[in-house]
Amino acid sequence: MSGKLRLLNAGRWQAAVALGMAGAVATVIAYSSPSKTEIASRLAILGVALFAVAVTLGSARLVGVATLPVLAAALVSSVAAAEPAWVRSIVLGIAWYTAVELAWDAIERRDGVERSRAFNDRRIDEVTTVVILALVITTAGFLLSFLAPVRTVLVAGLVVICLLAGLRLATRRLGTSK
Amino acid sequence: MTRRATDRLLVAATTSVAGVLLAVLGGMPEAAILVAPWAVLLVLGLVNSPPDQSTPSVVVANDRVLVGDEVEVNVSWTGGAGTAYVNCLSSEGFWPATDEGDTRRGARAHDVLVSGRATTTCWLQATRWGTHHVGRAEIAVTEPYGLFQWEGAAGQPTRVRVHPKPTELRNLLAPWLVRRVTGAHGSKVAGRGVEYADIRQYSAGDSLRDINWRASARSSELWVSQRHPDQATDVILLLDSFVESGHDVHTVVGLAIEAAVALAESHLAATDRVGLVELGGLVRWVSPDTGQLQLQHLIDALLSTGLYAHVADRNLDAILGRMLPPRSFVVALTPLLDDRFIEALFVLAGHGHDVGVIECDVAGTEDEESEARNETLRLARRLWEAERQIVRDRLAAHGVAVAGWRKGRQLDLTLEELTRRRQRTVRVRRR
Repeated sequence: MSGKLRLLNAGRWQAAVALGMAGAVATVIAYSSPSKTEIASRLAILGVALFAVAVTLGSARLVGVATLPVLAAALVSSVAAAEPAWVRSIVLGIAWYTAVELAWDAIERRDGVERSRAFNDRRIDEVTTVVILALVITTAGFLLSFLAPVRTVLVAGLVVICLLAGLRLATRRLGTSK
Repeated sequence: MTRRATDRLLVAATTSVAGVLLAVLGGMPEAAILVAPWAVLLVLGLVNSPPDQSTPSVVVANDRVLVGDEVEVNVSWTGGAGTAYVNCLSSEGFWPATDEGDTRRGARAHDVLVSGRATTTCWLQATRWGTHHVGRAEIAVTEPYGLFQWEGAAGQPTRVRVHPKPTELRNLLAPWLVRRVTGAHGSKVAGRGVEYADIRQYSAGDSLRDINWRASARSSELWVSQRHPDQATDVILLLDSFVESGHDVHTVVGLAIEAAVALAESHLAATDRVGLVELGGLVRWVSPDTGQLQLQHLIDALLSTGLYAHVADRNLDAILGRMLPPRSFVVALTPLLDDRFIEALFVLAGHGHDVGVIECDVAGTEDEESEARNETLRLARRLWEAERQIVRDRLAAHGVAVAGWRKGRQLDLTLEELTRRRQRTVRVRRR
């Protein structure tokens, strides 16, 4: 296989899966939106089109920019619904995050840089950790919303996360100074 | 090394802040749920940011390689955490981009810093002979979760010599003049050797082992066989590095250097003393000597051959006494374009040196193809060839044989041709 062809093929599967996931997210948003929120469907299609262009051109920044219309579309369609759509939002949020990470990975692979196995494993570990933690936190919030008002749960969750992060940073600083 | 925020941080921060604000202030919990992965990424990235910066050090594992071999560049990291990216740089022009465009195989690599320690290895393929500088690398360390990146350069350029691939020669140019040292060239005089020369009558002091019993049996006297002794010679490679505009000087000098390396290897293997004189913009020389160390000296000198435009006359007489041993065998490698070099060949022949010329042909196959289509070009080519033939004839008249060599032709064929022509020119020398 010639060099140029190898580079064109590099990251092809990651890009295909990323585009597939982005398409699925847009489809879910478009089909699950109430008829009065046509804007959500349009935003989702615009975001996914931008995402597809970004992946094709290999622009990591544009992939990030595409996140805003897609998440806005998901939010508009959720808000317009009669009751909070927790599960749908969890799935859409995580699916979109995974699609963006895959797109970034595909773009990076296209540069033809040699990667060690440890490097690939590390990337997978990081994304998996983020996804699992996000899943745990949102599920916990979903369960807690049965016991307390949503806004209270959100504020409390925010405070707890900030406290934990601060504690972790302080512990690390202490360990380094020793 | 400078620290900068990545696109990942921008996206994570923007979406997280917007989502949390909308959720808390606007009473839309879905906003927080949608941006939850980005918020988690932001928190994890900030919390796991390493307290110290990674320090890279670059080591080039090889200082001499052959064309086609790979130079190993190791980048060792201490401190920090995350994933490291290395782009090994090398002197431009000598490591041309391959068919992969700008991305040379193995010149760039990603690796992981585990507990602040890692070694990333890159390979740079040597595609052209010469002296190159390797060891500078563009470095980027992405912190865990990829929110921040440290960027910079590291390493000091290290000189790497890329030798041409050895060409195995079957033919060895036979000199007319030899030294009184045992070697591989047949001498014209009779003495102790292997190759049969003649017989003569036995005289007192002759070894009994030299008696030719068959000839002695046919007469009443003893006859002894005489043999040609195998002796060594002094080979001086005379390299033309004059710059002549209008042709691809690098290709022509490259041809000359490839031939010089092959000749040096084969003559040193035959216990000849080999030296080098570079005559051009600069005049440099390596005194003749034998052995593998001499081969290294010669190759180093050849690889550092430079092309400098110079209009001054080069007086070869000044270095003749110091540089060229008497009755040396001079092999000139030249495109026969510069009059100063051609004059030097006459001077050498006049001083009694045995001179042979390998003419590095400047005309390529592309030229021939375009000539086939263009009548004017064909005529110009014929005129040019006629002028060059005059130069060759003048040299031949002084006992200097010329054989042509061009890219793609086996050097052995050129040496065969040169040997054949030298046999003709010997008559001129004897006259």
